[in-house]
Amino acid sequence: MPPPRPSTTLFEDAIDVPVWLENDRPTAYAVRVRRDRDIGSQLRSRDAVQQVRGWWHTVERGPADASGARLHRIRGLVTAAMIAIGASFGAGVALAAFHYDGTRPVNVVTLLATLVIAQLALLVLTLLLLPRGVPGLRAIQDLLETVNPGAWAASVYRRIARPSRDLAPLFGWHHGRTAAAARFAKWQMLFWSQTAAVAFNTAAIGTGIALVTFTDLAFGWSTTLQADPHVIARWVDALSLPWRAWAPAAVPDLSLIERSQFFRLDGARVLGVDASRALTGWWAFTILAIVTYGLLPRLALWALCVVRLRAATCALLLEDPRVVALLDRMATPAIETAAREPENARIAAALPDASHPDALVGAARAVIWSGSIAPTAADSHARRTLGIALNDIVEAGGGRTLAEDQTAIDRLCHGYAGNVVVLTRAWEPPLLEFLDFVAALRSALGSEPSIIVSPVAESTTGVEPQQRETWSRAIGRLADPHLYLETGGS
Amino acid sequence: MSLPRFAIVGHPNKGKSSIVATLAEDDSVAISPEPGTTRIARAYPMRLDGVTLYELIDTPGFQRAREMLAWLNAHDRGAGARTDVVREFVEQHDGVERFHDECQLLRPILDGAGILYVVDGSRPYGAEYEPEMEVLRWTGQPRMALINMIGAGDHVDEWRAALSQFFSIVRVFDAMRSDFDRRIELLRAFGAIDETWLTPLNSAADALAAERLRRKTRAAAEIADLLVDVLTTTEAAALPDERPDPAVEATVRARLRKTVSLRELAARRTVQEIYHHTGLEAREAAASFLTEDLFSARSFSVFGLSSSQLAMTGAASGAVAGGLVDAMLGGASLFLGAGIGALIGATGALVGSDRLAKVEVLGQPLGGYELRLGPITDPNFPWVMLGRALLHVRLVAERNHARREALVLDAERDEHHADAIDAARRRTLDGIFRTLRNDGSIDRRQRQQLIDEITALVETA
Repeated sequence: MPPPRPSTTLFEDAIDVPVWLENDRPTAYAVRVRRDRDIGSQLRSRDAVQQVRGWWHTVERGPADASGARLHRIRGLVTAAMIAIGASFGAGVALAAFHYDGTRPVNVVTLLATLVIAQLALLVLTLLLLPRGVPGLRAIQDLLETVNPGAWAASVYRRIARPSRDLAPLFGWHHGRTAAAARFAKWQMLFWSQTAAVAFNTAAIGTGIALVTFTDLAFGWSTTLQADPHVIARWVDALSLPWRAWAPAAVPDLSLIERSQFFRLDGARVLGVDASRALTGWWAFTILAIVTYGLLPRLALWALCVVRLRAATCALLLEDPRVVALLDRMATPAIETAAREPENARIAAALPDASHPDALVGAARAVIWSGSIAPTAADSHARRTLGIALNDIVEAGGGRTLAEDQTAIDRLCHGYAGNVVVLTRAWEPPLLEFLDFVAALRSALGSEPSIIVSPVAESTTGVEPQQRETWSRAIGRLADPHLYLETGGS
Repeated sequence: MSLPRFAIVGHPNKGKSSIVATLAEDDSVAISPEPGTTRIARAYPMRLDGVTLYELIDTPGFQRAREMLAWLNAHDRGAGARTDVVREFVEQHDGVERFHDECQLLRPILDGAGILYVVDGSRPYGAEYEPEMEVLRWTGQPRMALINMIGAGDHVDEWRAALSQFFSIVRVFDAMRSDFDRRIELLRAFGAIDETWLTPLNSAADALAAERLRRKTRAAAEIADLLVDVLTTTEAAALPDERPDPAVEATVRARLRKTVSLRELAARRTVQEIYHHTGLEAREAAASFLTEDLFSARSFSVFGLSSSQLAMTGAASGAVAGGLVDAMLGGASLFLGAGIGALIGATGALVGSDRLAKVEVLGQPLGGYELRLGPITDPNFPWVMLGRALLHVRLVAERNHARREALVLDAERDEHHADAIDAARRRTLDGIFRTLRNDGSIDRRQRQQLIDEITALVETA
């Protein structure tokens, strides 16, 4: 019993199954039909992906080409690298945005611009990558692709993984040679970019919380614009809408907003000492704003990418023409009509050809075998084709019995030691019973007289070359030095 | 209900193996003008999902029928015991070289197989056939005579008169030239030998007819995938800088041509396998159009569209696109869109026909340059591929499994093959080819559409 196969991912199967099927092309079609139908009829699931994967884990195969596993491993490494890069960048940006050295409070306006507004803008650009076939959008998408971290990851991936010529297009958007490959490449790229974005936000939030917890931060807001605190309060109210009901403490009120406005020119003097504690009240708002407008949209897009990438991976597997053909073979009745094993044609041993007689002169006796020619026409035929006259003719073969054949031989050879011509049908094969007759004739005639087998053509065009060859080999097989073949031709 | 089994028997070299090869669609059956090629009885079961519906048995020919009949007559115990006498003959001579062939051919009959007695109707009847027919009558098994037509002569009437004395059913069947419908008709006719076999034989015939349709679709799918592959294939090579290098371009061009030619060969092999012509490849005629270089001018002339057809097809496709603009403008454009589209389409088709594939030098994301050749953009190229593939599939589908010569093409008949494709279908196909050229891929719906169109062409080819 073969050892159980290690479980594989859908991605590995989507890579390995088509490759294996391509390499399976030399297997006889009938064998593939029988094999795939057998496996298909044993599988219970009607789901196409499950059927193909069930088949893959059942079909007898040698050691799998490790392309799928290798690409899957490198894909995992690239994903991990994107997480690391996103997290590092997120933590770095958060450290800068939450920077507080005690001289001036953390500017909430800058912080939101960096960690919320910029992200929302990037999100919108990412969403522009999703639609297909919109006139004019393709050029923008190509431009955005060049700055998308997922596309950079795909490029790095191609460099590291060096996938085969057929697999390389899977990781280059717009380069897929099938629609499924193009879809897969797009969602893979978006998955990587959203993975990095989620890591970025998570790290930023974590860093913010850590700074809030382990250091004292004071928040304020500052802008050159003539901003009325009442207007700011309305903006803050609107932004806080998602959490206001369950976290009212994370919604700065008008008084905090009024008290926390500062101008750098004034330095910290604007802030009274009693107000310092109140200024920490912004932290929950900023963290929840990043969660709500930074992390959650990215998580939603990431989840969409996960779902769509899985669907694209399924399509990558199921839309491959080789897999389509496999499903067809599994689903339709297998019809076999040929022998279980191909016939090995007997290799005919090299047989000697019959000899031509020397120049024939005079007269001979003759046998008309199996009604090959009318007795009245035999003599003129012999004169024309053999150059000799027939002075006695007997008939044998055909519908006659073996006893009648023997009687004919006895009559022909009685007191005769000359040449004998056997006229036979050129188009009929030399049967063993004819060769038996010739052997019996030789026995009665003695070893010296010549026996000339002369196949008679059906038409005036003469004996066909193939017929001559066939008769020549049959006569040659008897190895009789005085047995000849003469067809009257070349 | 017993399994329908049929022993194909007769004189040597009268086409028994040809009939088996044709009905069993097995081109590995040894067929030779040399008598005695078949030395052992060999079964060809027709299986549907592993269940045998009927079985053909190829047998050696009679070699010493008169001697055997003499033995049977000598041991005759009356009409009721004749089958037993034949069985005694086989048992007594089992392993005896002298009657090896007779024992081989009679054993399956004695085991219950029906008899299909084969003669060559292109050659005259002869009395030497009567002993073997008499031996078959002694077996008491149901039997049918098949008059096979190996050569050009016609002696069917004299054969029919003689065979009717020994067989209740006599049919003419040309093993070399019978088409699929004739084969199915013959299979159903075998049911007349024994009526209990009628149901399984009809089931088998129905299954084979359904399989025939599936083959067309499978062949069409193979051609569709061939077209998708060759129309999206590119070849590339690294360049030291951004200047095109003619030597590198020549190498890449040769590689692209080889890749496309190999893909075409692979598709042909698959189509041949679909039609069970596994041994055909080795017999391709060197002088056939099918072996003509794919990229030769002759290939383009024979299989591609003429310049006027290309322009018409391009114009029609362009007009459709322009017409969409007109429709969006509610006719306010005075149908200028359709007119301009047609002009652009026709011009593009003619201008594009002079170049085979585009050459680009591309900068790589992480440095370096690459010369990329392809995909092949010549608008006539898909038609050449399609024409060659349709011709090949037609020859393969028509071809009988008994034939052993190379695929031969009537060049005169097939001049300008693409002419056979009607204008509406050409427009649909042209749209798909354009999508492939422009987008580098087609979706599942378009692939199915391509397969459907090619299936229709295969059916009418």
